[in-house]
Amino acid sequence: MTIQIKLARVDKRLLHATVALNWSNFINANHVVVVDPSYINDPFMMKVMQLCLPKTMKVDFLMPEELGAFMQQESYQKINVMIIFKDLHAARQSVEAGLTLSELQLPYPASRMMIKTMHDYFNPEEIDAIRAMQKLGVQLYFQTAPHDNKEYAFFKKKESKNDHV
Amino acid sequence: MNLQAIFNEFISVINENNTYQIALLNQSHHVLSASDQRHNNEQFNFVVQSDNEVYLPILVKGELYGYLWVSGSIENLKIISDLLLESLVTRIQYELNEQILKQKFTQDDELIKLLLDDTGFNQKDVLNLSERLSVDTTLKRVAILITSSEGFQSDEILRLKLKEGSRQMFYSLVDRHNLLLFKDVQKSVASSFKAELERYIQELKEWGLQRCCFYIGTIQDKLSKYRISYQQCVWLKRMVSLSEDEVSFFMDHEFTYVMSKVNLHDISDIFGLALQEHRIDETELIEIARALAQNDYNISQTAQTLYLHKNTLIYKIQKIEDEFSIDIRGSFQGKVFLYLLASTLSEQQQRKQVGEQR
Repeated sequence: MTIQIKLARVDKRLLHATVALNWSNFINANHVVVVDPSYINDPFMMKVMQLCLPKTMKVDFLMPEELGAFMQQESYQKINVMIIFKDLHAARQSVEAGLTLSELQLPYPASRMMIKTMHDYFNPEEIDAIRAMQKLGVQLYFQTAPHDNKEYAFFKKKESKNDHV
Repeated sequence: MNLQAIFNEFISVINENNTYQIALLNQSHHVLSASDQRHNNEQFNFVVQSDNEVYLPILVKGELYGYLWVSGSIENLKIISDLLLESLVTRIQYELNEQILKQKFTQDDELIKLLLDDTGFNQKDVLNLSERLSVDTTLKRVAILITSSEGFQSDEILRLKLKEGSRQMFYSLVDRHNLLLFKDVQKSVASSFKAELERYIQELKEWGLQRCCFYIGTIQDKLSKYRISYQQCVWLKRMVSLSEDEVSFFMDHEFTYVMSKVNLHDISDIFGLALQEHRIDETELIEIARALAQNDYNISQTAQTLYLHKNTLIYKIQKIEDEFSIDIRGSFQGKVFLYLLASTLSEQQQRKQVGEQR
């Protein structure tokens, strides 16, 4: 059986916010992958973070370049995976290293009403990462909680000459 | 939810590290569980605190579940204690959500048992429970019976309640291999209802219900008739052979179902002599009858299906018409009688195969 990505999300609070919002239950995930290079060298912190989920839910911490190989493995059990990226940079690295991703979720910014353009919320490196992933076929959208609407339109705005300014 | 059992998992992780100590305190500051068991049942003094310890309230949705005490190296104490608290609070939230889901699942199960009760429909109990579950009883619903040869994981099925579009759906695991849903539907016109349900089934497959067979009954608008929709699913499951991931709608087999309600002994009585003395190959008659029904009694298409020349087929039909005195090609009644004769002969053949005597 192949591994299915049920949700790929960028969230700097990693597991805690995503679990607190009950995403794992809504999407029927039984495996979580956290992509945050800073945790890889700290097994104790990884274990403390994993405690927010019961042992029945498998949690792995991976480097961006390891994600592609993880997704290619065959499993005798059905694996519905939820991937959480620390930031857009980690997501971009994973996609460029071979991860096949159709959609990437970002939580709504707190000040969503004030945000008209990418520059109002994302820094230049983040915008670069967004455009790079879009070129590789990834659709980005805003959604915080499972019952929120998915908003794709913000990311579909035509690329401006000033994206990189 | 067993908070102490959860906290023991935290203790196991802390004890592997040996840099910190933790304890779970109740609202009156008594230790319920601690990484150093010597602290158990002690009462801690929050007023006098040293620099290498913190007390953090465990607040989940505004409710105080106790206090987390963390002691250890000052250097990273804040980071570790904040992370521990966040993990603990998140875990409590997770377990509370699971509890709610299990409760709802159990109540869904109760409701379905009431709806399917063979002994009679208890309107009062059904309405009371529906109200408790916030089930809108004015909605139209359809029974969907889902079967899995591998079996369902009850932990996974629990989460089906949270799936988008499932607020007014209720369900029960009939047994490990059979899952019954009563799904609300928006459209009642046949063609659009089918499309709506096909989309929903596709969503279920994407959600995780793969390698299953799906049997769909008819829409019902009264709670007392939900049982009928379920019985149609059960009939479908018996009569229609599906491969994994296939879907079968009762509406596509309504004619077969209605015909199956005819008492074939009556047919035997009507055609008694002809059934005993006819000179027709019975297996051939059954094949012709089935092919005609399948092709809407179109002679050309039926001939193709049977790999016969059209004139040969007509000749064979004429012989059947003569032997049984029915007008197959010219009348509706003749067509129906042919169908029923074929069913009767088929049943007789099956009974002979298992050694029954008439």
